[in-house]
Amino acid sequence: MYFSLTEILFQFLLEPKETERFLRQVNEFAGENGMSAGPLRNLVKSMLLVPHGALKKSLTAVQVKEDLLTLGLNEDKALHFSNQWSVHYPVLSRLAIGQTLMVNQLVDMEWKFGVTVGTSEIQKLGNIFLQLKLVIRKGNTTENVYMELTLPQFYNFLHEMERAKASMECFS
Amino acid sequence: MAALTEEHFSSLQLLLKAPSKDAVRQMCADSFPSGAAESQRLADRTSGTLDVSHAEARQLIAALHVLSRYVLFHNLTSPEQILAIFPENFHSSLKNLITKVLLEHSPTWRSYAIANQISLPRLVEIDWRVDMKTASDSVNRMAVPTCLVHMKVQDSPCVGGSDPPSSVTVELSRETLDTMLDGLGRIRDQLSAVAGK
Repeated sequence: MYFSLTEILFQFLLEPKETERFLRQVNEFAGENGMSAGPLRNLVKSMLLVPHGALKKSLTAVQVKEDLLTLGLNEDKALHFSNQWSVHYPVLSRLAIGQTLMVNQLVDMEWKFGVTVGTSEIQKLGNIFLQLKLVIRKGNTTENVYMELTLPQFYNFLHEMERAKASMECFS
Repeated sequence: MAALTEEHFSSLQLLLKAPSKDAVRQMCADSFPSGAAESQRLADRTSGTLDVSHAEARQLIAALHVLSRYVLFHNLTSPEQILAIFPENFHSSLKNLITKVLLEHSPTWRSYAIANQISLPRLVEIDWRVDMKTASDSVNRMAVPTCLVHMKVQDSPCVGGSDPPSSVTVELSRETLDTMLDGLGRIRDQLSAVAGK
């Protein structure tokens, strides 16, 4: 019974957006085991504090087990939980980092390039242009930004982005 | 684009009254920009320089404007091509002078036209910064690099482009930057393929 409850818990931690599914599973669990749903929900909410706190402090599986023992959980259950923790930790920590605030996050980039063949001022031309569309997340909505670059501007842009990437690599 | 007519060429002969070759040069240059034919000040100045009536000055400016735009549009780059436009009985030395002046100005006019053609907002400037995120509300300690890119874009000058440039700042994670560089690299490869043909 404890094991299946732990499983429901970790499933939710791995997919935090699935709140409806989580609540449904908790209610089902309550029904199957003859408990009332309300108190169980409260209990589970408190249980979630343990992994959240552990993620915040980047605790190892050993530390998590110690904490659980201190909290009064018995050896077997603490061991099971900490094993599950080490299995899922990489995904969980990536999720936590991914939730970190990002301002104006670049979500997508589309591009096309072509040749300007002529204009109303010049009958025959052959200049290459590049058009970029950047999709930026602003809060809950996205905003599209369109721009055009000449060839030299494109090469400059590429060069700057390569420098930025090199700078980022320095830190890993 | 207005066509070159006989009236235009007869107005051009007014340049014979110009005090110097430089005056002719100056008048050609002044007549090129878009608003030239309507400009009161230019007409006044021209009528003063050539000692002609205001109306005649305007006709001359209009003629120079149409001629310069014609040369630009058809990309006439050799003296023979330009001389061929003039009618047979046109004053010979004046014809040569005007041709020379037009050829002198053509490269500048061409660059100007290309820089001012309609386009999507142009990327004017780009700056970036790499930060290291060390903590957040969900994780006490971390070391995640992130990149902030600031782009200044300006509307094309012909689309009411005296607007100040607008700017946009975006944040990219390392994966996003890698993906973006992938895309830009593909563009570069395709550009080289096109240029190589």
